[in-house]
Formats: sequence, C-alpha cells, structure tokens
Amino acid sequence: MLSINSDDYSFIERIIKVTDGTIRTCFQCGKCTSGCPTSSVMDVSPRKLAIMSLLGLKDRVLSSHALWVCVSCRTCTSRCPRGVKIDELMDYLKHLAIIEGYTPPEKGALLFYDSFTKNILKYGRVFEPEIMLKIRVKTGFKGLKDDVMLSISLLRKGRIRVTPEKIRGIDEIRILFKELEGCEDI
Amino acid sequence: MKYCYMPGCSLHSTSREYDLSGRAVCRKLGIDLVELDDWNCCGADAVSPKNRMLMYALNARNLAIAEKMGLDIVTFCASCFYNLKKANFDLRENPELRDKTNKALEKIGMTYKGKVEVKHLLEVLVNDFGLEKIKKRLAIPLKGLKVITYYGCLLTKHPETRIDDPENPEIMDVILEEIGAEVLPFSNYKTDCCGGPALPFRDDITLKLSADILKAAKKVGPNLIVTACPLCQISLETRQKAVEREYGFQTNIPVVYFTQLVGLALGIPADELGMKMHLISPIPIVTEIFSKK
Repeated sequence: MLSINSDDYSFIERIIKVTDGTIRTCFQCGKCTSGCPTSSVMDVSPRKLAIMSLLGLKDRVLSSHALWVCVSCRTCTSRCPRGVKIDELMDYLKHLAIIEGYTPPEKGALLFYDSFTKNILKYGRVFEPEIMLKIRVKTGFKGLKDDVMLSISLLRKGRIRVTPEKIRGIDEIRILFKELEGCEDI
Repeated sequence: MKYCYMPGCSLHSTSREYDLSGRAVCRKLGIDLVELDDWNCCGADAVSPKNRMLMYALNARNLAIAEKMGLDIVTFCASCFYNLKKANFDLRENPELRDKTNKALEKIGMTYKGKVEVKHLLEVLVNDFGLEKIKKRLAIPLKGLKVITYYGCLLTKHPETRIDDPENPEIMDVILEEIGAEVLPFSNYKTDCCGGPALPFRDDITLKLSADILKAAKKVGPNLIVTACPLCQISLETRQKAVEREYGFQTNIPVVYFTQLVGLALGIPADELGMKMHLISPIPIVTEIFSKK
C-alpha cells in the first residue's frame, strides 16, 4: 500500500514545474529508456523514474542509483514522442538528491561534481589534473595509474596544463558563489 | 564578420589543437574572433546538479560580458556551446529566472538583457560565412580522404539548443564534402553517446559506449574519425588502447577535429593546426593523401 504525504505532494508539484508540465503527458512508451545509453546499468529506468516521480514516490526515486550513471546526453528528451522534458527531470532529481543528502552508492559522480565546482570557485576555470587527483585520492587511488600514464602522453603532446589558469575576475566568481550559496532551486 | 570567442577550459588544455586549428581557420577566412574577456568556466555538466542557479549565473556572466562587448558568441567546444545556449534560452524565456540571475549579477556590477546570440563554429561556417566562399578559397582539396563524422550529443540532442537533426546531422558532412573529403555513411552512430561525461568516475561506462562506436567505425573503415566536441575526441582517441585490451579488437583510427581538415584544405600548414598533437597520429594518412597529388 502506498501512502503519499504532503512532502511528496510538493515534490510532484515541483517535477511538474521543472518539466513545464510536460511530464503529465508521458504515456509510458519507453522510448527514453530504449534510447538511453546507460539504461542497461540503471536500477530504475528513465521511463520508470518518470511515472514514479508523478506518483510522488520521492524517497524511492531519489535513492535510485540511476541518477548517478545518467550521462546528461539528452537523448531521452530528444526522442520523446510527447515532448516530455525528461532530461530536466533527471537534472532536477540529481540536484534534489544532492541537497537532500541522498548519498549515491558510488561516490565518484558526487566527488566529480564537488571538486569541479570547487575548482571554479578557486580559479574561475577548471584545472583538470587537480580535479582528477582529488577524486582518485578519495576513491582509493583506483585508476590513478592509468591517469598518470595518459597524462604523460598528453603532456608530451602539449595537451595538458601544468599550472592552473586563474581569471582576473575571480572575486566576482566568489561573490556569485556566496550570493547563490544554498540556493535550492531556480 | 566579427564574433566574441569563448574557448572554454578544454581548449586551453586537452583540446589545444581544436583551439589552434579553429582560430587558424577563422583567421584564414577573415572571420574576426575577439576572445571573450576574462571568461569563466561554463560549468560543464558538473555545476548544475550542485546548484542550478549558480549554473545560470556563471553562464550569464559570460553572456553579460559579450553583451557589453556588443558581439555574438561563437564557441568551438560543444559543452560551452550547450551550456551557454541553454542558459541563454532559459534566461530569455523565463523572466523570473532572468530577474533572479540579474540580482546576483548586480553584485558584481553586471546585468544581462538577453541580446547575445550563441553560435557554434559549424553554424558560423555554414550559415554565416557560407560554403561557396569556403570553396573559393580551397588550396588543397582533400580528395581521396575517407572520413566518418561523429557529432555526439551536446550539439545535436536538446530541442532548444541543437544545431541540426538529432539522429542524422549533416552540417559537418557538408563542410567536409565541400573540401573534397569523402564522408562515409555512419548515420546510425553519428549521435550515439561516447560516454565522455562518465570518464572521471565510471570509465567502464565510457569504455563500453566508446567501444560500440569504434566497432561500428572499424566496420565502415574510414581513414579518420572527425568530430566537433572535445569530450568526444578525448573519449574516442584515448580509449582505443583500453578497448583493445578489454574488448579484444584493434582500431587505431585517428580522431581529429573538423577544423583541422578545413585548415589543411585551406592550405594552412599542419603544424599550425595541431596535427602533431594527437596520440594516434593522423600525419601518415594525410601525408599519403597529399603525396598522391
């Protein structure tokens, strides 16, 4: 038996808003899932995430491992015969899962979003080696050897920066971060 | 013809050859690029999950700078293009979002009115500059060069930002055909995802998706894979060894940017186009084609 509380109702209202109401027209054909390049490694398919979100099953949707393997390719939205903005739903679910503290089973994605964003705060642009190193350090150095080998090859070709590039207006970036800190949604 | 050029972080590091070749082509054609002053990172796909408003603000700062410079933005990078164009679309369509973003921008003495257009270099070359004019400047047509075009997702998928058909785009094909290359059929895979975004944290996903594309490419048998996206380029080029190890088939196909081939056809020296910067070198095949002339 499913029970829906008021929090779930406001969740339904939000997902309708972020998809410009299009989610209500989903007729569960599954084209989003069949086109999704990572649906084979998802525990809950995009099609199911759509209907579960509409039903207000917030906790189950936000606990889903699928959010962290979505590669934001937007094929789902591109192929939807009903014009459902399913990519907007995915973006919003990822965001909500993060701000509500649903920690993904694989830390990698979250660590990437985190260190990437912090890198922008620090320099205004990203310095890839620093981001990758942070992820590797926090995930038991898995893949570090391959990274180092690849970096050396790219370095030889002049395709890796050895120092970060900081913008002149870095204070402006800091102000924007501060101004919008904890801003839960658009 | 003058644009504000937003290179983006990748073009200052792992995709320097795209920056070099794209700028060289524009210079040769007389397309004036003024770098977007003190641009910041577009946020890729990493900022939005953390803070959606911040994503809009970061892109709005770049748009506001371009607006002040009085120019439209051109990007080569597919990710910068997607983020800037999507932010621009939403900021124009949604007054509430624009006000909220401008409130943050005011704190740094900026404002964005929505006057800037965001274009990809492919659009600039085909729509603004014109294929006819490119044809007139051809120095060395790339006759005999067989290529496949690979577009990936960011330029083609989203209904509000895409520059061409999401399943079978042709904007890059028409340029390459114009400069004499033979574009082999690859329509079933042109916009399949390479898995690039998962590269930093689930490289098994990237490997599988890139392997599918490389396997299909091998069957078609091109001399080169041509792309317009830094993430696609790096996924397809750097995964080939791992694909061989994990999936047991060898490819060794160079993956280049369309700008490098256009540059060669316009007579720009290979060095100035970053042709020597690839891990799988396109130089032997290009030399072979040129020596036949």
